[in-house]
Amino acid sequence: MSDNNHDDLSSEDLAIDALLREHSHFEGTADTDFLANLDARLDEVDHNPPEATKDAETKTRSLPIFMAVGMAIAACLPAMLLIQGRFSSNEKDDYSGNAEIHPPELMARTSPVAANEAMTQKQGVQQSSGGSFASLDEVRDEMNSQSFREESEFAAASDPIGRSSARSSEWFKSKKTEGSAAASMDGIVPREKGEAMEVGDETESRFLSSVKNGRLSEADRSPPKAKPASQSVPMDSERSDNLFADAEATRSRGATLASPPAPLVASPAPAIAGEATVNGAAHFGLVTAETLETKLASELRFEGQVITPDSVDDLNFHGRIPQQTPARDSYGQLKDNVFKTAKQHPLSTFSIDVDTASYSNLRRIITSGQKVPADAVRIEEMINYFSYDYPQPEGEHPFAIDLEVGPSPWAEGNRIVRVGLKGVDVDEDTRPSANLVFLLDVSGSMNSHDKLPLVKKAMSTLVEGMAGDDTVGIVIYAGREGIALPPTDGGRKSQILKAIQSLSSGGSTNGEAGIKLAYRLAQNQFVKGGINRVVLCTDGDFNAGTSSTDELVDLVKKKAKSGVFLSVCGFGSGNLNDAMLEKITNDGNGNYFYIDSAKEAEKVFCKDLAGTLITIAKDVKIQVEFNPAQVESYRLIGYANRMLRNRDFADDKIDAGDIGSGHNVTALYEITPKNARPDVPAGTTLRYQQDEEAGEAKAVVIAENASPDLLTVKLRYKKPDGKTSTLLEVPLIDGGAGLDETSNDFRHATAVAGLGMLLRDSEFAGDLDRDLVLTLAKSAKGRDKDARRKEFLQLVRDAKL
Amino acid sequence: MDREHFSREVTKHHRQLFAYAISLTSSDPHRARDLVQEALVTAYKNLTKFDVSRDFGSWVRGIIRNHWRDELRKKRPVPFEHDVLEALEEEHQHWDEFADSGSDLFEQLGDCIASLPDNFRAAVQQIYFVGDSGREAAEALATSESALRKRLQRAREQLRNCLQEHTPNPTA
Repeated sequence: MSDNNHDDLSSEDLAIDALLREHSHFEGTADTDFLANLDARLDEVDHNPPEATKDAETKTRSLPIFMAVGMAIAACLPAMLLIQGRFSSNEKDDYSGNAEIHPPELMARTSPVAANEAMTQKQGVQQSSGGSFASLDEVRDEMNSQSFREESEFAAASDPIGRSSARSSEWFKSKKTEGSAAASMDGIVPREKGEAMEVGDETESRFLSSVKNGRLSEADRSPPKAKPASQSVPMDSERSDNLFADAEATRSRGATLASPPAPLVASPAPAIAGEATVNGAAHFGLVTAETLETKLASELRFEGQVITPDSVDDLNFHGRIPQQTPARDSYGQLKDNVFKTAKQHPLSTFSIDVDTASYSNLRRIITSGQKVPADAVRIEEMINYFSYDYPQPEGEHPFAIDLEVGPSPWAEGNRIVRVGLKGVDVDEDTRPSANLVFLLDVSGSMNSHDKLPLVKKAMSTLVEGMAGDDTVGIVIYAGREGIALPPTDGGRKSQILKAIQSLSSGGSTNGEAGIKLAYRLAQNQFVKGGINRVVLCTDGDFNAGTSSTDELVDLVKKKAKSGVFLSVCGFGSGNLNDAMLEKITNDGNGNYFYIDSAKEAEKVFCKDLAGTLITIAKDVKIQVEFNPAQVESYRLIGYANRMLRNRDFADDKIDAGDIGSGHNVTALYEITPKNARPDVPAGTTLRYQQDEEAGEAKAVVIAENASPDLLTVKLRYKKPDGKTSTLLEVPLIDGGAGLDETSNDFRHATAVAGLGMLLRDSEFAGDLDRDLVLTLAKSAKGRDKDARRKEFLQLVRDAKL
Repeated sequence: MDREHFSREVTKHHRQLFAYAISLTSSDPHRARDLVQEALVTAYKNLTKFDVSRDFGSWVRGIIRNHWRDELRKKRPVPFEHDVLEALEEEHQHWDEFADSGSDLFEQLGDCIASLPDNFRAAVQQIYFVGDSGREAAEALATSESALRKRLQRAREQLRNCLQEHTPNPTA
């Protein structure tokens, strides 16, 4: 059976294999996260009884995904969310007062006729083709492309788990029901019989009519006022009538809802590139499962293709078929640092970088089964994606320096020096007021599932972390720039979220005007001593009018000097102007993230929010001075486009990168030590060796009083609103540690660098291969609370080298 | 069936449903959960069509299959032969006994793993719990990949038999 991807596995074997996979994935009797998620979705169904048939092409792709994210965010924002449901209690419906299911405005806008037409159109296709799937696929594709434009509206209306507490937002809940595409059995008819499908609910038909027209009208887009949730019942995890064994795992964790904001607190649904999208098509209807199976199985055989995975063997152990996504993204050229001799070039100077975009981007590429372009690989961003156990700063400086030396795993005799920096943690509760202006690219190119909807999700996540003394504004640009939301008090979340949701894309990009407007808004609301930031979300297709990238960089730098910083979030693929996005944040006192999933959005805007928003030191430069007596040559791994001239180090007019609260920064040097002859005492003249550098035949003399230091790390930084830099110096002696004496962090950072080098096909890779990286990384996994290292391991396995 | 009842059934069956979804999509447990969640929402919406005298597990698995098929339509990965699906369904129907009698299938599975002979258990650990690939695991266990593959097959067979032995008698 060549089209069976488990050739060697019998069905029974397959069944047990799956049991084992589930068993090893999850400990415990019940997956309470899942059940709580489901509970919330069932609540919604209860409030929106589906009586209509569904358009099979409407989108549910991202619902489950951001439900899960919603849960994660719920954990991140305690005391803000209420999750109630039958899985956790036996109480009857607590939502007295929220009786209204369909706000009157919705009813008025319904159009059963249009819906009928849409239905019959599809039905007609099915009837005439008599089960030919090719034409049905075409219909689907067409509906899908139309529905993409819908996606932002639709997605915006979807309700992540945590917000289900806002039962008042009936409007978007009904939208979601439309989107979930599951129809009641009443209206569905087996295709074989070819009877007309019924149209039921007005809400559903309203949706269909908009699909037919291609986009929602203005009226449709703005949600009607709905009643706020009148009741918020605190979760009591000790309820004895809890249907689950372990109540404490329920999402309550003491979460009490403090009067949820009125209507829309929804966030859009991101679809993760390459991930499965489940379309709850309504075709299982009245036909029994078995007969439909038979029918579909034969048709699938007709149209099915066989995909041979790279390693068939792997399938027999743990099958996974990679998805293919095209990428036409553009990357700048990266030229790696080469070995320099310490004698000729004792100083190495670079600007620090806390961006992580390169890692999340290459994660997306690897997960989709593509080969990573070498220029997309910025090793320092890969290393800095992870969290490390660097010691907290104590004392006057806002960060602490942590140094370590160990062996190079890929070049015998060489050493790796790890230079670590840890920024002080500013407590989220005591952070200064934020003045944020979102600058959102809503041009036509943002019109895909992994772009604008995900942008909305990311922004909504961020907004959730805002408070009353924060200010949020939204500027959009596409063809024309405009203010989608004037600077608004951060406590008025519903208003802000509403503005985010209602964004739709279209038009070409005019980034220049948009960015200038955004900065102006930010400047107008400037908070002295606070966080002033423009957050740009784009796919990089930044048709910036007459501005070149350099001009943009200048603008960003200038604004940074005045105290308004920039964060850039890249989205999507196929258009990603990675080079440009990285450039405008390099020295522009900005940070650059690539958001490939809701999970990443949550990391950047929730978990790591303080680091994202709060700069604790700016223009941070590092200069390492190598001791030629101990170091023959050295090579800085990564930071290829962060190098500074040595004299830039002490020049305060020269910009460099920033460190955010809690950030850690790691730089690795590979060193070829001089004198691999530790047992020869100083002052000895070696008879049988010549000093080649001396240019003439001269005996090698082991220098006397040679400092034992390997190097000294010098660091300059400015306070966020400072003008002059402060200097720190830390010398380092190589203690000769072997690999097993190095820290997990050392080995992990080195493993990550190793993967980067392999992906870039580095000339310095030496003995490096995938297995070596894997072994190193596995040994360094440690506690891995955020599971990022585990994810890394899988990337190493899956990467095409 | 009302919502309470539905919830109880889901609680009993959900993890087995995950495993079912995993075998269909040969993918990771996260994606399986997404698939199962969608299917359960669909199931709930069509609760009125569910005959309580029928088998909850089979019914939901049917919905999972349909959702899965629909997904396939778009991506066209490798489909399953019909008889593979049938056999899978049969396995799961046997395991439904655990859920139906209030026992924990996975707890029993854990016990069965523990009772495997050492080298079988080690192989299962390495592949499923440590998460090694076939090649890595073979190296870790100092054996060849083909030998390891066979060992795993035998281990899985034993586990299957063990589960069968410990299947609780269906409650009346």
